[in-house]
Amino acid sequence: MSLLKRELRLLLRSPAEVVQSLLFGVLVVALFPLAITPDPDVLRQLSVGLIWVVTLLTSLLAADRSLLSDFEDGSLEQMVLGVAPLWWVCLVKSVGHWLTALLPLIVITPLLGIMLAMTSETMLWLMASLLVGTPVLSLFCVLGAMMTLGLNRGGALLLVILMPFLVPPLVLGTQWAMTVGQPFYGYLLAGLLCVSLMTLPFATASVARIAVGR
Amino acid sequence: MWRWFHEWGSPRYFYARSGRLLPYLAGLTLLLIPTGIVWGLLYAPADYQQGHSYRIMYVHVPAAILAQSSYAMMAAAGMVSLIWRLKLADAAMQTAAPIGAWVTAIALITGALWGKPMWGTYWVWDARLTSTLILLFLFAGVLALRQAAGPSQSGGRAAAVLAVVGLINLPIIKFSVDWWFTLHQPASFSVTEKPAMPIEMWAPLLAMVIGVYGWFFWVWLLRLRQEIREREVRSEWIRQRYQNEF
Repeated sequence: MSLLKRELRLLLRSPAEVVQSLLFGVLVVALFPLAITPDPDVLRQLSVGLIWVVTLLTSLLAADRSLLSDFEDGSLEQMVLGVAPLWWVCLVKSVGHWLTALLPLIVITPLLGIMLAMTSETMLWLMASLLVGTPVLSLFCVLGAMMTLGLNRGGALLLVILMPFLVPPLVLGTQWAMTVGQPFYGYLLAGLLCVSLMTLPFATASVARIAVGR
Repeated sequence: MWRWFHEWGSPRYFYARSGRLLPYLAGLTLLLIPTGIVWGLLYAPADYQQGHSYRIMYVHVPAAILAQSSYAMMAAAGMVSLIWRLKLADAAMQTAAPIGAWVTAIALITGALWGKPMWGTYWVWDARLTSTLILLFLFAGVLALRQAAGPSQSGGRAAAVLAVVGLINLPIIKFSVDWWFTLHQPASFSVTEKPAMPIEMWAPLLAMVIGVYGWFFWVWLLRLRQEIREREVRSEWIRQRYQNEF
């Protein structure tokens, strides 16, 4: 618990960064009607996928925020050697990432939906799919960030590494929202969340040991 | 008897034994691939539906099969290197990755070339094409990570973790892409048809598939042996073997 409080304190120390990722999401969504068409019917078709992709990009952008500063000042090394189980540390980092980068975006989703002419029914299911699917994104993004810690051009590398793994939550999440809540996709997404929750922190922990040893 | 197995993990014994395997692999490859190509391109009967343009199948299908299995082999090597900490397994994974990536690219390119006469378009977002594209991205990720993390042992381990995570995720990815496609499948054509082929058509295909696998192992062994030479350049047995070249 104290680990989580520390994470949040560090991440929220400069609220500008949280607002920045939020702004990024809003601006990108605003670009699409300008670039494609203001026609609400077309926008409505694209809206779910667009918001999901923007969420994905925001998740990637914010991915190494919590890790990089820890790596640079040596706290990551302390955590690897420390008392708390390393998988728990990694899980806390994923939670911190989700709370600061993705949850604000989910809260703002109604606004984005209005910009893209989304029906309120779809909006509801979109938010549900985001609530279930974005933790998976967080878990994968923290894993990827740990892998690219301290490497040159880590940012571009992050997308290259993570893209295949982000496809299942993206596809399942958008399908769930677009079929307006058909439970099949919901179950799959929830199952994916459970499996990711159980396995990814351990994978991240082993990568953390590798990263610290670098 | 177990000792024989364990010796395969040592670069020195592996080098010696794989050297003896090389001529057989080369022979198999050089026998089967030209046979398959000449037979498939020239002598197999023309398809009643597609005419002669189906012949690219003899390159495309072996490449596609190999693309998937080479990823599995590479990830298996990565798993061995993580669990048993064998540097040889790490070298095997490192050398297999570029070959697999190129084979996947060839599968995609030949598939696109086949698609134009068959479906009228170079690319279509169907389940198999999309899965193969994602496979290419998986290879790209492993290669990029390996390149960025360096040739050190930690770089190898990071890439191995990525490859194994990719392998475990592969069924999930394929499943989600399949469902995504079945939802959006255009009704105008069926991409996944597998017509029953007369033996004159699939015999050269079989020759090509076996030949391409032989080629893969041949090239993989060649690259792996080179990697061993580079890594063990300071050890005694390499010096003795190649002393006249130093």
